[in-house]
Amino acid sequence: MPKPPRSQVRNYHPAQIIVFGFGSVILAGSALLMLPISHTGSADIRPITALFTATSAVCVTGLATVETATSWTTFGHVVILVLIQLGGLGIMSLASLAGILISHRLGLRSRLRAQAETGALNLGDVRTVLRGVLAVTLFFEGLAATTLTLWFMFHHHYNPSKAIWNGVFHSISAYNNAGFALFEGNLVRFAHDPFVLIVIALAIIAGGIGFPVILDLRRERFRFKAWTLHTKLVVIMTVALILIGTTFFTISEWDNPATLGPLNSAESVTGGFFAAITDRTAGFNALDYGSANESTVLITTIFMFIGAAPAGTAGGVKVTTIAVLTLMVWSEMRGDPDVSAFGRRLPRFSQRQSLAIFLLGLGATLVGTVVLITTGPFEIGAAAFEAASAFSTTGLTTGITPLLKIPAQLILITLMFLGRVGPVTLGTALVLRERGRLFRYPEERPMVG
Amino acid sequence: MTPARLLVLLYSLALALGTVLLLLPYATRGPAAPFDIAFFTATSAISVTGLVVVDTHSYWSGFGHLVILALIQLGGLGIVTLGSIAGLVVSRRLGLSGRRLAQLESGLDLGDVRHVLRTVLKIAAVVEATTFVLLTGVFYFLHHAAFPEALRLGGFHAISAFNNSGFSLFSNSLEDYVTDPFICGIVACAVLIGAVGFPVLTDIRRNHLSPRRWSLHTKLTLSAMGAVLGVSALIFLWFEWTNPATLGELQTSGKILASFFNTSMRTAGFSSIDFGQLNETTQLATIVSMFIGGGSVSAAGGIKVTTLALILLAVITEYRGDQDVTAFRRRIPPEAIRQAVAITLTGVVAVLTVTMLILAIEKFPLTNTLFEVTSAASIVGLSTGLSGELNTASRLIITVLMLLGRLGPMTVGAALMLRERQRLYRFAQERPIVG
Repeated sequence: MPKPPRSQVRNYHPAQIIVFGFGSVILAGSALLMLPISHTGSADIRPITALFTATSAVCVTGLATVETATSWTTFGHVVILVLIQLGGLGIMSLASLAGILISHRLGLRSRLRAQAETGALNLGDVRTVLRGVLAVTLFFEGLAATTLTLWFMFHHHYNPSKAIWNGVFHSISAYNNAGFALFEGNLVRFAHDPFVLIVIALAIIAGGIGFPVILDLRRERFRFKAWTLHTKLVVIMTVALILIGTTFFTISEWDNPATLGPLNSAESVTGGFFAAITDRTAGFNALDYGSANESTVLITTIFMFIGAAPAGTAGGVKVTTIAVLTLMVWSEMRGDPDVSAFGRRLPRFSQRQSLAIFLLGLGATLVGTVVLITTGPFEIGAAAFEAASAFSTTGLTTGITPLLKIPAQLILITLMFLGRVGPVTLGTALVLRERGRLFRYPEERPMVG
Repeated sequence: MTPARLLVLLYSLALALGTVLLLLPYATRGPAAPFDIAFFTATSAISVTGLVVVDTHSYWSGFGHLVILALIQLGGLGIVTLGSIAGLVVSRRLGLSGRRLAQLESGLDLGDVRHVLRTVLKIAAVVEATTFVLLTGVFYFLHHAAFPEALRLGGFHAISAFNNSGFSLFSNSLEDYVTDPFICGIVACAVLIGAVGFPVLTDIRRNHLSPRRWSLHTKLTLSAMGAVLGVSALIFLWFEWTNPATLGELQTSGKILASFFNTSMRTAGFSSIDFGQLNETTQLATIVSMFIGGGSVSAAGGIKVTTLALILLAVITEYRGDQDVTAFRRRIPPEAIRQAVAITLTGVVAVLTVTMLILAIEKFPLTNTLFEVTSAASIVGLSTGLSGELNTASRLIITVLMLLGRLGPMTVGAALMLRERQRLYRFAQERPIVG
């Protein structure tokens, strides 16, 4: 066996790289946000505030204990923007790399190669992936930024520098599914301006649909049959969730005077459409979730939890995870021996992985909810909303974030971090650790249900 | 007809009969019951839920009580026996051939069925009779009830408890007996024995108390149930300790008794404190533990403790990177895991959908609605007091949910599926990225 060439990244477990990478960027960001040059002085910025904001930015969440627009200086905003960009690019490229790593590992040919066994990546692959992710990111962000800038300049009559800054900030924030906004009250003031909402919604979708899907779409265009199973599942789930969400939000909030009530029909539908997109998992809000109906709060919690596609900038347990679990239920009811979709069989460990990710999310959200309830007099609805928002790195809130005490802030920080790195590491890195056993126990089947 | 459809049909017939009987003028003390109340009560009884929209004691006459009792007994035992036979046959069949419910008919061995049935009936009779005698004694000697009254209370609550129904002849359930260790202890024992399920009971009866010879199912059920009970009792005790409306006013021993009693009622629905006064954390914990439910093939509802155990085992296996899911030195087949996932997910989806539906119809707080819906879906019968306030539409939704909860999501799903296919080929494998 020849010595492996130097052009290999090795010795680190992918999970370690992801956790370590995100951790160190968060700490560096907190330090920068602690500098006096970052504060306007209108809010009391303590270390916990800086840590919370940095975590929220790097994990592209968007939850904020202080008003983003007024508490941070332009320098602070730039720091936040850089953190968002790093977080978004990081998760997208790392998850894509991990995905490739797994397909290598699982491919019959690569199994024979030592590099697959040690969990190492070819540097060529790394370069290709990184270049691809960067190109895709710049393309979509550039497109959104240009459109938004022009619109701000000519329709809202901002002066050019303000228009450019707002265009760039919000397109980056949208593409990376962060949900930070430079306006007080986030995007509520644009409820009457569907154009801004739609541009931002499209940027959110582009960021959330995931790098593998974008590659596949670019290669195969709209030939559905040629798409990979992954692309099919992601696209169908995304379209379905957007349709269901738009319908539900529009109907549920139609008469609510505090949200869609005062808007005309077109604006209401746009509002519902925007809500259905931003809750998976960008976190901009054009309607005030604090005054929304209970059923809207509940379905938003569920949508946030589901999230968008893997290897994108969005969070949550991911649509493919939900798709795999749904297919399992479906085939169980039909009595099919295999779980299959679109003429492809889903491997067993994918099923188990989906289950592990789903339960990680459920457990984390439940624990977070309980801690939030006990640290402050919050209702289950609001607390679960906040916990799901943090875990899925969405950033929507019913308005309780600024009221949180320090232990509650710490639990949200943990949830955001866990929600960012957890599903990725579970979904990808754990596969590399599969252990063989030299014996098996006899089989016995307990009854369930 | 597939067994799943047969089961649905049987329940519907019994339910129709029960509703008609409750509609009779003799069934009530006052004027005859309107249809929706009779239907709700009959469903609640036959699904052994215990949610009520009218006060059982003062609204229904002695005849009405008998009808309710008969429905409870039928729902808890009669159809459980069927379920039990189905369960035993399925697990034996499935282990070998991996086939499912639909192939069940061909596998029915009549001699075996008769034996199983006899055992089940014997167990139920012994437990119910013992509970009946003990409860009657306690009501007569300790609470000085007149003898016929003691008999009535003892009989009704014994059957209601063993079948995990939670119907009570007291309008505030067992709240008057919150510090009475006898009533609470006897009722809790009957409920727990009823909740572990017949496969466990027959196994224990056969192999006595030598755990080494128990089946994996028995071991899993008992350990999971113990864990769920212990954890929820501790949570209850911890968060309600100072709540003046619940445990706050009681002695320490009363607090411990009340928290263990009320958490073991998470499948039955008796209560000795007012669940409407619980703080949010305890309500959330109760919702979760109601959702989990009791043992397989029992009168308890929920997704069942073994289902939870299998899912947790599968996740732990995944975290450890092991190949096989194992427990107590036995390998658990992937089909069982898939079944567990299917049951849990259908449960989650059903509870959330119905909650959203009711929230859209009426203006209730989320927590109470979720509590009530979970209680109906897991056929528990605990309530924060919402049942009486429901309008007709949401009452109907809850009624259907109770029935579905009794049948189990997978039975309903299997009954609804139009065709059962056997593919003679397998598709190529492809792996989507998850997480």
